[in-house]
Amino acid sequence: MKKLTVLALAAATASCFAFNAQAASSKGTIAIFVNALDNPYYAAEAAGAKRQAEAMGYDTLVLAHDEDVKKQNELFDNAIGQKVKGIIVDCADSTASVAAVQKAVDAGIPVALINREIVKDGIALVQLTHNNFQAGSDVANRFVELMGEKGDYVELTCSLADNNCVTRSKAFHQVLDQYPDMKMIARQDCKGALLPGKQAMDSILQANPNIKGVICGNGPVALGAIASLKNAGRNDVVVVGIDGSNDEMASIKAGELKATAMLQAQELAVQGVKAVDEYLNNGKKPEKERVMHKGIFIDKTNADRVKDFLYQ
Amino acid sequence: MKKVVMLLTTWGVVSLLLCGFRIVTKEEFKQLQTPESPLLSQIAEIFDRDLTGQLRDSATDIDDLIELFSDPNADFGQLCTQYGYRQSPDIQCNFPVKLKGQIKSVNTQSRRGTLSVTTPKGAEVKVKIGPVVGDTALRDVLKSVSYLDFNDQTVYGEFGEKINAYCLKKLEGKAFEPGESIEVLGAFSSWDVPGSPSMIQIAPAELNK
Repeated sequence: MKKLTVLALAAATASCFAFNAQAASSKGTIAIFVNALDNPYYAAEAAGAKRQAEAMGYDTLVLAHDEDVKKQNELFDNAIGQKVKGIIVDCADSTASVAAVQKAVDAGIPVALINREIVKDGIALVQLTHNNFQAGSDVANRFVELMGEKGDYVELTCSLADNNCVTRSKAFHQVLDQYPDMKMIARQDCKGALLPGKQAMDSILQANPNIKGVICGNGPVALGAIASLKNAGRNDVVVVGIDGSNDEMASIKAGELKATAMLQAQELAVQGVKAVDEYLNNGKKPEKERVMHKGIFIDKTNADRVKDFLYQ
Repeated sequence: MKKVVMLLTTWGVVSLLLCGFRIVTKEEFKQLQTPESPLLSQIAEIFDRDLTGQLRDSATDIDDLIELFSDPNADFGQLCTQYGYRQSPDIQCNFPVKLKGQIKSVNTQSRRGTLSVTTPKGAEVKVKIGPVVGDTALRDVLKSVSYLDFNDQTVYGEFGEKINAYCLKKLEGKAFEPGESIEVLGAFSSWDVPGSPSMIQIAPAELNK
């Protein structure tokens, strides 16, 4: 019995040493907050940030705020309480998130924003976003070509509560509204998800069988529209979107989705972690606080080069 | 008493209108207090002074640029640094160019109307004549105004649209025929070395016959 006790104590001491050694080798924890982990885009963001942070010697804490400002606030409080070294966040809202970011910065924790920006300058270490306007313009220009500059079309927006979706929609219209022979016969907000995209398309298609094209604010909505059109046997309708997930690539290769703009989700996340690391190690802030990354235009000619929101 | 109040109110409203006051909606009032960007109301000045001046100083002859592009070892990044301009490596490169050539054909079938122009060295490039320009080469080649002056993608997009609209306004009333000689000062955008000269589509800041 005595031997067992000694062995158990020795094992406990050894594991304690092992834990401490691991803790000593870690540079601390980087918290990574994204909207949702079951959406391919946000999952890619989280995976990119986690991989980069761990490669740099940090532990990671990956959580989703579900686009809920209150929940995001709690995540920030928790991270501050845990004394994390830095926070990478795709924030829940561009205005309401200012206070949460400010709170972390006041606690000495640098915050890198990815994808969604906040409305105030000078608080976050860096704000890395996609050029949603350019992505929207590129996709709309191709949509115009595919439509032959005329015909009835539908716009399915991602989520008009999301500033990025609003920007994409504005970019669409800056292009499309210059073509008087292209007529938008319906517009519906599909909350950025596949099922509402399909349901919206189902009902719009019933009322407007003559539609020639559908321009979508993001990938899941576009895939939802395609599912609806396939059910209705309508493979003649032009569908375009924005995002660049693996599912979209498969759809492009199958000739269903005609074009998209790939948003560099992983690249933004990696750059965010690098900025935080640079600041923690050398006290250096990025040259510019707001940095835009281009959306890469994708069609059948280059869909093979995309995997997990990375362009190779 | 009621009549007096009504008369006074009517008199007040009429006086305000006659004095040049305008009643605005809440939204208009908000916009007047915080304009999206003062740069949006300075398009003519920015175009005529900054953009045209910059293009005159830095434009490369299109034939010379096409020759550089034709080198199989052409390094696009290096060519962009030397002959073009971009605000960051992440966006298209914008090349300021000048061109003297002869109109080969006029495409007005598409709203993105173009002239196909043969250069002195025999290459064929396109010059945009609208009514849709379809890109932002003129905005993006401009050095005096950048995205950082807006920090808002939509307003920056609007700025680009206004620059294009001003470009098209300068073309108003001009008709083009094959065989005519033209001189162009403008810019085009590209992500990479154009596959052929005909892929080059120049947005004109000046287009003279």
